[in-house]
Order: sequence, then C-alpha cells, then structure tokens
Amino acid sequence: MMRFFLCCMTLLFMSVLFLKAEEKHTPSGEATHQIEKKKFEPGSFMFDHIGDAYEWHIMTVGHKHISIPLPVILYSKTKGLSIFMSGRFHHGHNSYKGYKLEMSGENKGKITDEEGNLPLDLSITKNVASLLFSIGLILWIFLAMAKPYKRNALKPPRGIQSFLEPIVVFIRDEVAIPSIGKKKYEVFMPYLLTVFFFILFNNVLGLIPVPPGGANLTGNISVTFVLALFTFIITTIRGNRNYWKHIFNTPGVPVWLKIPVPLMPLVETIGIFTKPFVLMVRLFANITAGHIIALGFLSLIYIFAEMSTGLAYGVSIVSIVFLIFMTFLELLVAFIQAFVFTFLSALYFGMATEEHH
Amino acid sequence: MLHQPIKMKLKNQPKDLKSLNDAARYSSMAFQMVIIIGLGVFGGIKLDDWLHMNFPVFTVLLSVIAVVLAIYYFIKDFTFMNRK
Repeated sequence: MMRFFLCCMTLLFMSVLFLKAEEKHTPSGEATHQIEKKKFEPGSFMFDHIGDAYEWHIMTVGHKHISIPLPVILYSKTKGLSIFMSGRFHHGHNSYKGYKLEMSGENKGKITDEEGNLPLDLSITKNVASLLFSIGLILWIFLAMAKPYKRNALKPPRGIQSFLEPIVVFIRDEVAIPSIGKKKYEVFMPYLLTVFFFILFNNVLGLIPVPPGGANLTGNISVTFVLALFTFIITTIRGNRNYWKHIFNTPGVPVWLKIPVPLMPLVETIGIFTKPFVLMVRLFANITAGHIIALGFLSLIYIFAEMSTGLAYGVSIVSIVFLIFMTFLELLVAFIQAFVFTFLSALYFGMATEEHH
Repeated sequence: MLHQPIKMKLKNQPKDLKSLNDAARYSSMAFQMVIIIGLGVFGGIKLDDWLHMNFPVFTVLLSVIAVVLAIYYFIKDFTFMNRK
C-alpha cells in the first residue's frame, strides 16, 4: 500500500515538474483565450450525468454526440398527444411540433412549448428505459430460475440457481425471520425479495458505464420515493392493534402527555413518516454519492488538463486507479444498500406485526 | 422448497451475519438522527425566510424539537432492537 502511495506521489510530482517546464514555453494571448472558451465545468458535467435525460448518451467524439434516441410522449390541452423520438431535438438545437428542449434557465433539461409552459410529460426517458430493461432482466432471470423448481423442487441447484438461491435463503433466514418472526414472515417474503433484487440489479446496472447501464436509477429520488412508499403502505396496512395502540395511546406514558394536548400521539405519528423518509433519502444519497465520486475523479483529469496536458497525463493515472478502486467499493455499496433497504423494511414490518409482550 | 445443504452452509457463520445485521441497524439509526435534525433545521430556515422573521425563532425552535425527536426515536429503536 505504501509503495503504491509513493508511486502515485512520484507521478504527481513529476507531472508538476512537467507543467512548470511547459509553462515557460506557452505563448500568452491567443492560447489563453482558447482555453477560456472551452472552460470545463465539473458541476454541470456531474449533474448532467447523474440526472435524467431524453436520450441515452454513449460518448462524444469531438463535437459529435453519439446517443440512443428515446421516445418522447407529451400531452398538452391545446395540441393533444404527441409522440416522437428525442433525436428530433438534435440535442436541444431544434424545436419539433412546437416543443423544444430547454438548455438553460428555470426549466433546464425539460421540454416546453412555445409559451414556455410545461406539457404533461410521459416520455420514456433514460431512467424509465433503464427501469424497463432491469424489470425485463429480473423477470427473465427469475422465471428461468423458477422453472426447474416447479418441475422438481428436490433437485440440487444448477447454473444461476446456485448463485441466487443462497441469496434468497439469506434474505429469508437472516433478514425476514429474525426481524418479523417465524409465524408471519412468509407474507412479506415476495416483497422483500423483489425490493432486494430490484435495488441490487439497478445499483449494479448503474455502475456499468455503457447502455443498458449507466443510468442513475436508484440514485433518483422519485424511484426511491416509490420504493419507500411501498414499504410505508405495507407497514400501515399490516399494522396490527398493538402497533396502532403504541401510536395513539402509547402505554407507559403519563396521561398529561396525551390529553388535552396529544403530544405523544403527534410525536409517534411523525415517526410513521420519518421511517420511510429516511429509507428514501439513504438509498438516494448513497447511490448518488457513489456516482458523483466516480465522476469527480474523472473531472480531475479535465480540470488539470486546463492547466497543462502533461499534468493531466500524470493525474489521469492516479485518478483512474482511484476510480477503479471506488468502483469496486461501489459494488460492495450496491449490495449493502439493497440489503439495508430490505432489512429495514423487514424491521418495520416486524414492528407493525409484533404481538403484545 | 429450497435446497437444504446451502442453508446449512450459511448457518455455519452466524457470528458474521449477526454483526452485519447489527451494523445495518445502528448505521440506520445514526442516519435517521442526521436526517431528522437536518429536516428540522432546513424547515426552520425556510419558515423564517417565508415569514420574513427578524430573529430566526423557528430555526431555533425546530432545531431543538428535531434534536429531541431524534433522541426519542433513537432510544425507542434501540430498546426495540435489544428486545428482538
């Protein structure tokens, strides 16, 4: 580790020397003007990559963007329904059917009509396409995996079964049963397994830089909101008498805290909402942070390239080594976050179905 | 029906798995505290801005309430988890 660190530092030091040597030869005036013109903005670079988009960007060669166009579905009261491919916008340079892709201002990245109003947007954006792809992938893998069990459940696992069966058993034995209890866990298993594999697959897909990966789906707050909403709905519906009693008439609490001012019921009611809220924010923050770190390391190369090409070469080695290390760490985070979401959902179900003790 | 030998294999390492569960629980509790306090302070600042207050009374009040709530939920979750 120490040797690796020393190597990195030497490279960085050498590139700094290279920069100094190069600076002497840089003619001022025209060259500086050119650099200013193409100034790299790491902020917008990162947020463009972690955000949603109407096209699936693959790469940019020179000034040419190579991307997969996706269907745009819009509805407005005056124009009715319009369906077309996002390629019609030519990356925001053209308008089509009176709609245009805003490149700046308040509605940046959104589609607006001539008056600047927002139509009802049901487009298959990058995140939606990634969502549909992952659902298809999960269905395909699990239906193929389930078939042999249907035929003969006692046969030893084969192929992908031997990889996924331990995970299914792990969720059952280490997540569902300890949190919910042996009597009631079965009802929640389909949801827990679905949510676990959905988050895991999408986290891993998000780490693959090229389509069909690369979308920051589980780092999108709308997606994590819906996942947390499901946990909230199931907890509320499955909540037994004991659960609601603890909220509205908490046992072991002095009466003056409940009547006339219902302080304890109020605190407990806020608690119902904070739990899924925390679930939502945790997944969103962890995955988005992972993507930002990866993009940050990449941005470093371009930031240093603005100072000197030699320095950028030096930094790029360090940057890419760290990027690879972080990507491996993100693989671990992908699993941990899927596990934590499932585990906490199971804990909340356990709280909701717990019998009187 | 799931295959038995694999289950047995997992059962051989209960200590590691228990510590993983515990880590998830306690990290989640810390995260919950951070988010509740953050929400309280953010809500307070926004409310003061919206009401054009001279003294940030809601920021102060909501931060204190958020800290109290965070500690309350922490203790509650902690006792629940220890019961399990």
